[in-house]
Formats: sequence, C-alpha cells, structure tokens
Amino acid sequence: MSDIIIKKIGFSYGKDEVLSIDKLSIHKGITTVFLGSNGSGKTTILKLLSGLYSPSKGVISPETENLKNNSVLVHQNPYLFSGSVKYNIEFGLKIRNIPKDLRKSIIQKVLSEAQLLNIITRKTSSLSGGEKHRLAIARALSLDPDILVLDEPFANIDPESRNTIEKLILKREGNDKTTIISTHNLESAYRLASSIIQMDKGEIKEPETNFIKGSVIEKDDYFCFFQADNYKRVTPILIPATDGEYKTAVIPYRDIFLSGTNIKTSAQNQFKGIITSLVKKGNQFFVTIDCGISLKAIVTDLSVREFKIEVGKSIFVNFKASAVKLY
Amino acid sequence: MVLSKALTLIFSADREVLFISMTSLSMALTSTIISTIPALILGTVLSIKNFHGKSIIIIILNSLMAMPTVVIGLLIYSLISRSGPLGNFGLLFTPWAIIIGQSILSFPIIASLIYSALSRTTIELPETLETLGATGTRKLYMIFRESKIAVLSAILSGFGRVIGEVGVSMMLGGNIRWFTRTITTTIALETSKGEFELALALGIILIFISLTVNALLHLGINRNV
Repeated sequence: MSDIIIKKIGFSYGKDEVLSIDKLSIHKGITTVFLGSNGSGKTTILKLLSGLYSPSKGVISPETENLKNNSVLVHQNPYLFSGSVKYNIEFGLKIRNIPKDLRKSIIQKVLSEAQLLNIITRKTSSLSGGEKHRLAIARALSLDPDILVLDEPFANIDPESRNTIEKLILKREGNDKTTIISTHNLESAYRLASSIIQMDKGEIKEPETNFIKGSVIEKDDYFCFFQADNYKRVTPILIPATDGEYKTAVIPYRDIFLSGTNIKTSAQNQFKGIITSLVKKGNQFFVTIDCGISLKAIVTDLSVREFKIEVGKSIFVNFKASAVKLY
Repeated sequence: MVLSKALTLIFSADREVLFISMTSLSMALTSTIISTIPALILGTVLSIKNFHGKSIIIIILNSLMAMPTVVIGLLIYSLISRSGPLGNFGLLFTPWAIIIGQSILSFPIIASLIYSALSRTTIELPETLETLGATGTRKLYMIFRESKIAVLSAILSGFGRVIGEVGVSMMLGGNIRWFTRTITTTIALETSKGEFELALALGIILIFISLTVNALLHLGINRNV
C-alpha cells in the first residue's frame, strides 16, 4: 500500500459541507495523528481514509474501494458483536477464510498482546469500557491491516488500557504499516505520532506547535539534552531535568522569540538560523527558520517591519528550557 | 362458582375448550408466519435502502397499525363474499378467511416494528461489518443477528395482535361451532348469552398464552445479552 494522497476533497452531509481539504499526504509506514476539537472533521476524514465514505468532490488516492479493502477502522464507540470475546476476534478471520489452526494462534496472540486472554470466553456485554476498546483494537489487529484507523482510541478509558493500546500501536512501527489516529489526548498523540495534523472546522490548520522527534542523549542536575533525529547541528535542545524515556519535544510557536543578534537572556536555548519562509495569516506572520532543525515562530506585523524579517536573512531563535515539553 | 366451573373446564381438558384454543392458536400462528416473511423483507428494505416514496410507505404502515379489526374484516369480506371478486374461491366463513384477515392485520405491525428495530441499530454496526470485510448476505445476516431480540419482539407483537382480535374472526369466520370458533369469538358469544363459565375458561387460556409468549421472549433476551 502506497502513501495516501488527498487533493481538493470535500465531504457533505446533505447540503452542509463538513470537510474541505486542499492537499494532504498520509505517509506509508508511520503513525499520523489528527488533533482537533469536537466537530472539527476528524471522524469524517478518518472514514474517508478507511474507505467507508467517498468524497463528495476531489480525489483520494488509492481509490475508496482499495482503501476499504486494505484498512480497518475502530470507532470511538466500538461496536462489539453479541457473544464472546473470541467470537469477535474470529469473525473477520473467518471472512478471510483463515484456516482454523492459524485462526487459533492469531486469536491467542492478539488477545495476549491486548491483555484479554484471561477473558476469552466472556460475553462482550460484561466488558468494561477499557476492555471493549482493547478488544475492538485487537479485532482490527488480528486482520493485520495495511492501514489501521483508530477514532479516539483513548477516550473514556483507564490509564492501564491506554498504555496497552499505545503499546499495540507502537508494535506496528517499522513494519511498513500505516496507523491513523484521531485523539484529544495530546500526551498520547505526541508519544505515538510521526506526523500531526491539526483540524479545525473541517479544514487543516497550522498546528502552532513545533513537534520534534528525537531522544534525550544526556542529562545533568539542571537539564536534559534533547537531540532531534536527523539534526544537522550538534547543539541539543535544553529542557529542565526530568526522568523518563521521551521521544518527542514540543515547543509552541508563541514561546519562540527572534533576535537579530546574539543577545544574553535567561532563555537557555539560542540557535542561529536562516529564515526560509514568511507567511502572513490574519494580522500575524508565521516565520520558518532553518537552524539545523526547522522551527516556526509567530511574530507581529510590527516585528517584521522593525527587525526587517525576510526570507534568506540570518536570525537568532530563542526559547526558554521550560517552554519545551517532552513526551 | 363461575371461576371453579371455568377451572374445571380447563383442567378436565374439555373437548370444546381444547378445540377452540387449538383453532385460535393454529390460526394466529399460521397468519403470523405468513405475514412475517413479506414484513421482514419490507422492514429490511425500508431500513437499509433510500428510495422515492419511502416516507409514504412508512406513514401508511404506521397508519395501518391502528386500523380497527372490523374495518379489515369488512374489506376482506367485500372481496371474498359470494358477490365479491374472490367469491368463487368459497373462502368466506372458513379458517382460511380468518388467516387471510389476520395476516393482513399483523403485516403492518411486524413490518413497521422490524423497520424501527433495524433503523435503531447504530451506524457503527454496518460500518464495523464493512470494515471487517462482511458484505452482502453475511452483512445482512449479522444485522439481523445483532437485532434479533427486537425482530423477535416485532413478530411476537404481531402474534399478540391477532391472537386477541375479535373483529376479523367474527366477520370472516362466522363463529361456526367446531369449525371457525376462536377464543375471542366464543368469549363474545358466551358473554352475550350470560354464560360466563366457558368465556372465563377461555379468557384464562388467552392470558396464559400471552404470558407464555412474553416469558419466552424475556428468556430469549436474557440468554442472548
């Protein structure tokens, strides 16, 4: 299965257009997370990407039927068939004519991974919310789909179930399998995502957050030293010392300030870079600076004029260590 | 005194009580089975397909649910009476006339309730089936499987309506002793004569049938949840 490419699509319920996306690529083999408030169009885009809906206009490649055959969607309120946990897993396997012995081993494997093996014979009506979510995801994973689509998998579940679901999603990494998730849970989103797409009122919106994948390479009494993957510079990002294993650093655009010279401030992170783009949105400018990694900042019209901010100009990017959140 | 005589009729397995009960039961069951098949098809089509005139069909079905039994009896009577277009078949005042009338009576109830039951299944069910790869008859089978209690309730509602009706049985069956006499027509007749023993015995049997049907439904729900 290749990347999913969306071009100028729209989707309407009756006369009301609820989704309008000009251009979007969902890359193969990675986890993409859609963020956004209720009614922002996350569920609609997920149903389009899983081939359950066809766009009212525009093009999705691969085509809807192809997407449907290669994906499995798990709803926010997953529907479990009446009957046992085992019956639910076995259903899709039977449709695919998987031999009985193989079916048995797949059921054992996915239920064990989802920590549901001890309740294999239990009726679905007696499961807790977390168990229901885990079962629905295990049912989808049993089919080993090229594209796994999860609509709000962390909604209304206990922390233990959330951890189990995160592990199940992470297990798909590196197997050329695409995972697409919508969630309100920022922590899980930043931990799992390789790509984040912000939705608002049916459109894709600038996320206003720098999202950097990497790892903590060193730690002292005061700071963690976070090295971004594919970082062209040696200088790591400084973050207040903390324990734990982190894979993502997040810096809001608004917490980055720019300076024309190497000024001394309390901000622990200062990188020199080159402005690569300047885009006006409303009465503010989105500035992209290449300082080894690509960082974005928001500045006002006045700042652009005062500092003569323009593409190609050298500039210093400054942000406090405490502005960086690790996930 | 009346009650003890009624109970004696029941527990002594009085031939007439047995015959009337079995006639009522067999005709109600037959008409329910006959009407269930087209009702199941119509209810399913209405719930899964969108087409022009669908709303009109639903309105008509809902209206027919409240149709008085005597009106249905009158309509069928005009068709199967000797001077009617189907008079040559000699159906009037036979069990088949009652079965036809009761089938027409239960059809809109079963169709309408099946439509409601299948429409109430959440959008997640058909989408889950599709995303797991179930299509065509397998998908339809699963929708019925998941809605079976509601579908069963619809069928039993239809049965309940016909086992307790009197208008159709009286007008089309003629209340002929040892032939078309049903529980309800006997109760009406015996009560008008002021002889309550047989009426009460049959009333108790009718209540027993109704309770049994509901108990079976309740057991079915508990086993399947």
